[in-house]
Amino acid sequence: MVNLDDVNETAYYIPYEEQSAEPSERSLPLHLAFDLPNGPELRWNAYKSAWDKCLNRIQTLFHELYEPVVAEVVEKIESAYNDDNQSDFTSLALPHFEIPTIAVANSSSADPYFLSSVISQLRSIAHLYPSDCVNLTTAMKFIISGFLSTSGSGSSYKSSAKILAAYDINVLVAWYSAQKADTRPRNLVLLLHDFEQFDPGVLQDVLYICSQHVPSLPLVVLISLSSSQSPLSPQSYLHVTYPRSTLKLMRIQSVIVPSGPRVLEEVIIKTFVDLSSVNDELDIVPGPAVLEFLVEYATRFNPSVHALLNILQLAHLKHFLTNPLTALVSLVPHLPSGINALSLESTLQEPGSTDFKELLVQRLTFDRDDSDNYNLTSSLPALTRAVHIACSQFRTRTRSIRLAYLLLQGLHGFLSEKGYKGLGNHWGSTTVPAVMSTAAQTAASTLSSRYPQYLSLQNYINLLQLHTQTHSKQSVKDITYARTLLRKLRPEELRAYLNTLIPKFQELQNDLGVDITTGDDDGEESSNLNLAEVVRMLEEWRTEAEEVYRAYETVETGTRERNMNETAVEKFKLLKENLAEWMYEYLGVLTTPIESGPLWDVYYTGSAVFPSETLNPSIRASVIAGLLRPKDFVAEPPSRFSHVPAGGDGYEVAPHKAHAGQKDTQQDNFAEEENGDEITDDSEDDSDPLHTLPDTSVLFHRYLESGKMINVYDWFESFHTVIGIQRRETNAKEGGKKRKGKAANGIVSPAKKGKEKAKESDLDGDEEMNDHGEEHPESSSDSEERHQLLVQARFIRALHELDFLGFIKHTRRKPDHVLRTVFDVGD
Amino acid sequence: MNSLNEVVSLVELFPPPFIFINDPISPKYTIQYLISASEDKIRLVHIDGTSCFTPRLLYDTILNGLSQHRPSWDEGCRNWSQETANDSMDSFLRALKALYASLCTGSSNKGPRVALVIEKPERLKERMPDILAPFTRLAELSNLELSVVMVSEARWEDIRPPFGSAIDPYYVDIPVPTKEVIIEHLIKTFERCSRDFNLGSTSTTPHPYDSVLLQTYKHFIYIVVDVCYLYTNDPHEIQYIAAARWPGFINPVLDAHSMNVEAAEDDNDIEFERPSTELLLRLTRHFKPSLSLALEQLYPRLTNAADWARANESDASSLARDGLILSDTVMDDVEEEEDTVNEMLFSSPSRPRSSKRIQEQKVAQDLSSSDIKDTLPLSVSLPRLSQFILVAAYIASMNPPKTDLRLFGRGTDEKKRRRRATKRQMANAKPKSGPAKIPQRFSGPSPFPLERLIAILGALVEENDPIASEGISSQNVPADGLDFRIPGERTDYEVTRVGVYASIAQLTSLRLLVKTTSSDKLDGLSTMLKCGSGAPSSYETILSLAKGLGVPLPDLIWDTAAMG
Repeated sequence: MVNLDDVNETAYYIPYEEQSAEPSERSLPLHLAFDLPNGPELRWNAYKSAWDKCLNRIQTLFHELYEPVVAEVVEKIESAYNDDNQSDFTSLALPHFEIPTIAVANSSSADPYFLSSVISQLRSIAHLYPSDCVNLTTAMKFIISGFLSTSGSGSSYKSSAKILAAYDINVLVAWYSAQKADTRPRNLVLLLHDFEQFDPGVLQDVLYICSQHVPSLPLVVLISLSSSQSPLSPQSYLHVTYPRSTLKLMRIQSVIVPSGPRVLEEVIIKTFVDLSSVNDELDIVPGPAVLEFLVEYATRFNPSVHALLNILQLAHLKHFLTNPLTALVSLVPHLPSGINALSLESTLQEPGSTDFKELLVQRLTFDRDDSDNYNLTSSLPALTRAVHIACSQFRTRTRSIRLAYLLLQGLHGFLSEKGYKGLGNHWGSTTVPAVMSTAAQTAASTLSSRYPQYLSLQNYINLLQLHTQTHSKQSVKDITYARTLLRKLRPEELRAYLNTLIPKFQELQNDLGVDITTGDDDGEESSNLNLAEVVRMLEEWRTEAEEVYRAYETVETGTRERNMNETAVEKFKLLKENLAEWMYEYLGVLTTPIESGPLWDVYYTGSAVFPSETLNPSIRASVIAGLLRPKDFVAEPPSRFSHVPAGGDGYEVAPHKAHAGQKDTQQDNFAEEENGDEITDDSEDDSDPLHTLPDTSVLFHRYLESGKMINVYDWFESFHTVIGIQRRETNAKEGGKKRKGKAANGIVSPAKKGKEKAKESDLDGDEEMNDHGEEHPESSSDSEERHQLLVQARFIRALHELDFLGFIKHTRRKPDHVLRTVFDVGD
Repeated sequence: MNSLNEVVSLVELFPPPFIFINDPISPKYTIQYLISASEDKIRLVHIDGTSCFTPRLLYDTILNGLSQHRPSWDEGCRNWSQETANDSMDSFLRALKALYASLCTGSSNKGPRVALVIEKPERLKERMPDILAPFTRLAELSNLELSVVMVSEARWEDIRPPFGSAIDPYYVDIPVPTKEVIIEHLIKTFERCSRDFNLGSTSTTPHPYDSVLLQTYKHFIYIVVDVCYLYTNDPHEIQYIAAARWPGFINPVLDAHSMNVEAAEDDNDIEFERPSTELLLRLTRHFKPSLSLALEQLYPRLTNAADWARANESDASSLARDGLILSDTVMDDVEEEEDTVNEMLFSSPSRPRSSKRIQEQKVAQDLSSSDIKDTLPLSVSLPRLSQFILVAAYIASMNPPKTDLRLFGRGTDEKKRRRRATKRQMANAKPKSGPAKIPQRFSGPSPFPLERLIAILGALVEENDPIASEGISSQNVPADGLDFRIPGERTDYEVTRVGVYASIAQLTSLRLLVKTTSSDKLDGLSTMLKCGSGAPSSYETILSLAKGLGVPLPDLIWDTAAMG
């Protein structure tokens, strides 16, 4: 299992496994310090169930979202050959029959849900992928066999010289007309996946051939476009790429699948914020750090479903991999029905779990400063009870924060509906994010604000961070502003607001009804939201507001005397004040930070840093760092688990790891250049001497020192020198000889050498190689020759490795030179 | 179409072995005409150069077509010929002779006239260059009295096989269709529709293709042809537009009739009469503006005829305004709300009315182009980094590589460099002698290596994207242990992330960027990309993207003068 805490370990090597091989043993998370004996397994299971739950929720939401569009597409396909009367008259006089074509924008194969749900509702469908379309023959073959395989009889078609060719569309015509009238499919759907990838030349011919046989062959073409542009705009891919002669063969109708930021935000909000699914809570609540990264990644890189799922899955995985306490998630399910105190107790009683128990007690006492520590350590039931309380408290807290968000959102929505500005632009110009109009979106996108598209989510994140925010306390401002706004309500507005507020609370009360009673009040913080009381109070206020409103109405419509009902005015003022104050305080209570409860880090990822480098590493930097300091990557990473809760900067980072070191090494190199030919043996920092590094690294060090072009022979020379040192070192170790000082003087970097030997470098390499051999007459023994060959072989291997890594570019003009492709920032 | 009739009689009486018909405007129409004219007289096989993309398909199509054999699924899609006829020219000729012999039944022992009509012979030449010459000599080779007729947009000189291997054809050139030809064709279409419709249904309610309306249709056609002839003279295109507009055009008349029928319940059938001249003029005035609109949208197929007709149905009020709703009952409803308008109309007859109509037209235009409006601009649908990549790609495509350092190089002597760049630009603007250089804008985007894209992207991100330079999120900086001291190093780190490459790949799959090198070549030259056609290489689109990102695009384009 990988270590997600290590920010330097960004790329993993997954060894190739042959398909036939037995599936390797199920790998479990690493055993952590303080872990339970079966902790890894427990945490793994907990992770799986938690992630499955989350995934399910998201999938359901996407399916719901796509449902109307799917229905539209299916309806269009079904009705492609039986149109209504009006268009019948139109199509009657057309010069030729057009292939009904449905172009679906935004339905790339990257989206796993849309196309699959369309396909599941269609009967006879042939898929055509861009890779099938290398030429017309294969494309037609794939289409025909695709349709034939939809019926049982079709698969047996064997082409021979006496019958029609397998790529002849007449086969399809014959097949279709042979189908029994009652079982015959109403239309044949040809689905073109990833339309942008098709070779337009081939596809034009395919469409032309198909158009020759409609409507006797009821083909419907379904085009899946990845771009979000409407397929009918003159700038669309379809119109830009395909000539009019092809376009006029088709009757194109366009469907646009909802996608992008709007949809993503809606799904996230519905998954994690909405209280409607409160009885089916997710196990893990993502903290602001995860959500912020999600927003960041979606705005900058990729707002796709895949990205969303990847990020959430990684967050889940990391959560369960790094904290031994998360085993509690599977031991103490938060649902009342699932509470299984025995399992927790029995687990804690096992001899191997003392460490875990200690950690648990420590955490519990750390979180609540009252004094029954002794109790917890001694009595197991008390401990389990404390855990349960912590669990239910956590649930209450997350709910209250969500409720706070919904209240603010509701108020903002109410006000902006009445035509006010509401809580401000950062709460969005309309209430529901899903119906954000295009105009509003374009306006929002031109704003220079940081996350223009994920306003609602950002507001929620602000609320989560209410007490840790340092730079701008936006949420505090919002809550205060909400109070101010409530004070300014007019009578009819007050009445209307209460009328919208009360049903919401009642609904919530019904949803939460079961759950509220389970919170065992133990002198601790009450675990319910006092919903009943709130509703009662609000209803009282509503009746008052009603009275006031009526009084006002009579004043306004009747005598128009302002002084008439002074008591009503007073009452109204008092009422507004009460409501505003109550709202302010209530929101204050609701937004108690989740982190303040005990054991919050079991269920909440908090502000633990998201392993973003794992998802989006800078590979080139890693490769360079690896080449510069290979030993840091080979070294066994030290075990660095600390059981400090993941909030804040809980985890220390090993300072000596690769990336951190990268910079230093480069600095060394500059220093090296200044010092001329000095070797790094005695440089003061911890970087390794050059000759102890692997060959590829040695070459790469020299590479970085050279100019834009590298003379391969010079490179080899300098490599040779380093190897010489290496050899002498080993000899010295073996034979005790010391010739190190002399060797060090011999090292020359290719850049230097290049200047000296500028003319020589044009000579043939082999020739020079021979010269080189003669230069050392004292070592012309047999072993020396072997050594030369060895050095050459090692050089070539290292050179090719760099070549494979993309560091070298060859030129045709100078075969003995190679071009550098990577330069330092400092170069 | 006289020349076509000549061809038909020629084939019937004394078939020349090879006829080449050149029709640069509408070969499809010519072929349809040919087929319908030679019905019953000549046994004619229509071969399509696109559909018959292998010799085997070609042979099978000809033999099955001549013998009028339809391969059936139950017989395993057997061809007409019992023997293998489709593996070479020889076996094909043998089968052709056998087929002809089997056609020669009856007393005279004389077969029917046979002709092969080959559409798009130029495609045959592309795919099977060897087959064209034997086909011109088919009569000679098979020793049969048949003629091969090729109909093409191209001229024979461009298709002709080399070395004189093909015989010279009997040339027929089809002139550009005149208005009269088109009108005649459309009237024929009308007659066919009215026949088809009468056959299909038994109801007596009049329909748009009722034969009573023929005169009205003729009038309508004259207008349509008048409007469209300037832009297209393909009879099929004009037919397409006419088909889209006619049902809507005649609908008020039909509605009025059905209302009259309803009103006069007890009376016997009211004869469906063709509309009066006055009504016709009103209809014309009402619908004429929509014709040019139809041309604009239907000719480039921005929408299809059926959808356009649905989107451009006239509503009752606008019809009433032009006096096109004939029944009093409806008139009353509308009149109340339209009273004031009408008064105004009568007082000043021409001007307000026309302006009204223009408004109407605008509304119609808005409605029918609503699909286009649905399109999200790239600035919304693409993530931020992809927008940067597109701008960088545009710059890389439009600027010569040697200008990169001048435009993006930021060193100690930054001011010097930039000034020189602007000076050069000024000099460029001056007229120079020598061959005129084509501005990049007209020669299209040029390909650039991936590394250059990344480098320009880095420069853009460094200067215009505060997020990247300050670090993804503030909390990450201490955690990832990265310490960037040299300016630009953080950006360098950011733009070589996997996500950037993934975004480029994503843009390539959207065809906003196009890869010009093959993907299976790993060694050697680096990946070359260029801007995709359409939006990503249009200055306006990229400019608006750049504005949203805060990139001063005009300053970063070398040849700004040419960008206009």
